[in-house]
Amino acid sequence: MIATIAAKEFRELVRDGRFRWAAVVVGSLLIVAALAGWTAWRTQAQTRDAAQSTMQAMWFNQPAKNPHSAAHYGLWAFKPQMPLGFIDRGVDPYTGTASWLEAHRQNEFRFRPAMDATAAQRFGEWTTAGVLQLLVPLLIILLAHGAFAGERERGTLRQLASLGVPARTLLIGKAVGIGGAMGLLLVPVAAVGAALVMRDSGADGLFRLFALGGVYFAYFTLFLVLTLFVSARAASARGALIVLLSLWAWNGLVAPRLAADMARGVAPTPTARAFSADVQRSLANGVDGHSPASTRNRLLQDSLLAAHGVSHVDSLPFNYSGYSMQRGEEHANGVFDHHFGELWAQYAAQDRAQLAGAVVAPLVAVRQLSMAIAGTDFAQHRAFADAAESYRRLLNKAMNDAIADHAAPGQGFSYLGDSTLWAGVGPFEYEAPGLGRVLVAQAPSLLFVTAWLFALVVTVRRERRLSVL
Amino acid sequence: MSFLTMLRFEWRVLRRERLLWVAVVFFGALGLYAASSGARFTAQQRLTIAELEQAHAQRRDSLGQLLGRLHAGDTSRRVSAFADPRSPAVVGRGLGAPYTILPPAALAPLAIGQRDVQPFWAQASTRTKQTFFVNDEIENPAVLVSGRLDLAFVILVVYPLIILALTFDAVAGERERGTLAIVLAQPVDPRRVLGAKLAARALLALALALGLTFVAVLLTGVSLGDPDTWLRLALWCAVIVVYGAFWFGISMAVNAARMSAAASAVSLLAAWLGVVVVLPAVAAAVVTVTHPSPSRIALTTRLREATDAASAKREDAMASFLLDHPAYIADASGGAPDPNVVSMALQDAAERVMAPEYAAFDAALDAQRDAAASFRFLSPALVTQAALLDLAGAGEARFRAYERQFDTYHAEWRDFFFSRTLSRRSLSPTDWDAIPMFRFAEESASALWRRLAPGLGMTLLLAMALAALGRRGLTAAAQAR
Repeated sequence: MIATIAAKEFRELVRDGRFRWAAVVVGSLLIVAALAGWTAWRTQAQTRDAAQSTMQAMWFNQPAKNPHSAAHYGLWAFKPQMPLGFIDRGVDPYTGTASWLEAHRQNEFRFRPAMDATAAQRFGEWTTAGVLQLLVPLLIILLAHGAFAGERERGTLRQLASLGVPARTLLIGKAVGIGGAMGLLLVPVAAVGAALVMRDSGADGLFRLFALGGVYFAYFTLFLVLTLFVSARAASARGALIVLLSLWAWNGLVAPRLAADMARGVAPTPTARAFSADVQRSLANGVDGHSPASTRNRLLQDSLLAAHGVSHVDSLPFNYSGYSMQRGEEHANGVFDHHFGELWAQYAAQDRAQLAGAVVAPLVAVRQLSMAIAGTDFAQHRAFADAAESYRRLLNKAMNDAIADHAAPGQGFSYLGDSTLWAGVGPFEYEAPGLGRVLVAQAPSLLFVTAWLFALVVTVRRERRLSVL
Repeated sequence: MSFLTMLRFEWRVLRRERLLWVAVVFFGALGLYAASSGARFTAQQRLTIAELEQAHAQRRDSLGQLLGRLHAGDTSRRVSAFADPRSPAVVGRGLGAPYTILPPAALAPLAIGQRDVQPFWAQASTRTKQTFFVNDEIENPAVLVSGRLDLAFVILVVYPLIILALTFDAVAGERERGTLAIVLAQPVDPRRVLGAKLAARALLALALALGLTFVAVLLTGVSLGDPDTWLRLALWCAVIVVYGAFWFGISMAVNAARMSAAASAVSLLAAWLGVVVVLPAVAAAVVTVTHPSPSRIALTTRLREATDAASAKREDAMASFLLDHPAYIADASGGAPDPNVVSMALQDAAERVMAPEYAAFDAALDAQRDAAASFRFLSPALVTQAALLDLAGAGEARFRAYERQFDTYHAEWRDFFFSRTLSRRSLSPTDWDAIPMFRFAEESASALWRRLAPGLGMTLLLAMALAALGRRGLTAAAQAR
């Protein structure tokens, strides 16, 4: 029975001129978005990889110089492109792409790609994810809003009911039929996506693509069931369409912006100026505000002299400049951990508040999941930022230790390091978090999507009677 | 029966529709929230600017006093070489330097545009522009991804939806309810009856959008003292009228096509999608592929290579720098060269190598902006977006003007400090007061108008053509029944 209904629905749709047109428009937008995104993605990935290896080579090929000068020279860490970044760019346009790893300071990421684009591009830019999140649901609404309401208006619903077709069977059959027609559009697009991903990123990319497919499948199912449900209850196709379009506009256009904007108020972030002033203050006076640098240095000196039973720092068994610089770095690292930790906690609080918007608009959760699986959400930006920062600390420690261990007393700044020292740190390598970890971190979003599906299915199941009039 | 009477009658009918009130409340609430969001953003920018100016005034005063004392021969305080206000090299690199500020425009609370990702201040410095002229403002990227909810967005995206929702079944609804025949049986020109039906609804949406603008202007504390602000506000309203007329024209054409209410809703939705979503997407995709943003990563790498190369050939850099600045040699009294002059020479050598790259970078960005600007004619939505952003001072042109004025100022700043470093003159209190300051010069209203006119004209023409089409169709519809 279900198969018959599904086959009828499928055939009707595929023969419908409107479906063909809409499918051609949405399908070509999807493919154009994927190809345009992929072209840009590949150029950026190549530029980035080349730049990163140049940077690393510059570090290794430094002439003999004082290790502290080398630490000041530092190197830049450039954020790598994630395999599915071309499908969903996520926060990447809005986080910096580069950070300078230098002595004494944890720099923020600079160069937001969005800065170098135009407002029209920001308004009009459609990634594949954008089309999937907004236009495909719209297509579903257009195709399915009349599934019941239309039949009711034409009077054919009464005939079906008189044949004894249960309402639920009818609903499932229609869902399968319309879903099949959508598959006709989406499966080839997914194949193009898979081909592009396979070309550059292999199996890991394919797994991610598969997970992404699962999320969007759930999202489309949600919309399809919702549309059929509204259509089954609406008096006319026109009424169903208006209700569904309002829901669509709310879910896709208004609620995400509203949730984001309201989330800002939950945990307001400081201005860049206030933040850097706070960091400077803590660097000078300690996080507690009561241990200025001069006191810290005196205490350090006194305790070292006492511990080693000598009267001058030049008599210590290591070079004092190198040692105290490393202590200075460690103090600064504590300050950075404190302030950046605070800032990121504020971001996290905002993100949680924003995700709460998924209660009224499933897209909020779906978008979060999509970014996370594509590897372009903020958590993964932060993972990279943390890796870069760890490398910076490692680099600085190696430089300071070299001075402490090898420089003659009082000669900390005339000691020269060489290429063995530069190479000793090893290259900066970053391993992005795997799909499993990402999905675990996304448990709340997954829960929201599941809850939506569950709630809708329960509502539909409780709807026993189908009004034929 | 006059047109006005028909409008009044239609209004009485409309008042009883639930959809109307839902639309009014939703649109109004959303618009007010958007206005408050724009106002909050702008207030934060203004706060940052006030903080910057205050911090600069304090530093400028304290350093100025220190300079006065040092200049008068007071040696009681030791000053580190990196904090010496007498040194033109140190002050030029940014000690106590003023901020180059792009202040929010008068109507700024109405639109945010790219203001949240582009720099709106930088501290003057003799350093290479590309190393510091960026926006490092703290903002959760998850917020930026969603896009800003400002009044411009509401007008651009939601306002057409309201117009379409109110008008889509003006004719088809009457036909489906069976009342069209009665309406057309009235002793008036049927076209005028149908026209009045549509006009009443469109005027309502227009009144809503204009009303929102005025409420937003009043609530967000836009200062209305300047006649220029009034002019911009009037233009903003004109944009709303023209954009509304375009959607009204589309609705009229579709209403005249004698479709069922559901079919006309779908057609109007398709039109909305095409104009607001698909065409801008096509424009953005084409611009992104044909004019990709130049890479700052590549630029940073190249700058570092150039700097390293200059340092490796320090003597060459110094020699060629001195060839260009013979005055310095005449002053030099043997011994090691001034380290500040050496670093100037190295920066100069690196910038010579980089100059063509910077030029190419800026040219690529300009080409991208030009391409985006010409692609706006593809869709009235893009034209309207550009116009609204321009009027609120959040558009590309104003930012570009800021960049250009910054470049001029940056050159002036460098000249001031480089010449004093080269001639080994330490800064005097007179010099201190003569340090160049930056002040953004706003674009004239006529230049703004010249930029807006073509797009507005195009949208208006489209609106008129659609309305003419609709009028012909309505005639046919009236005659057919």
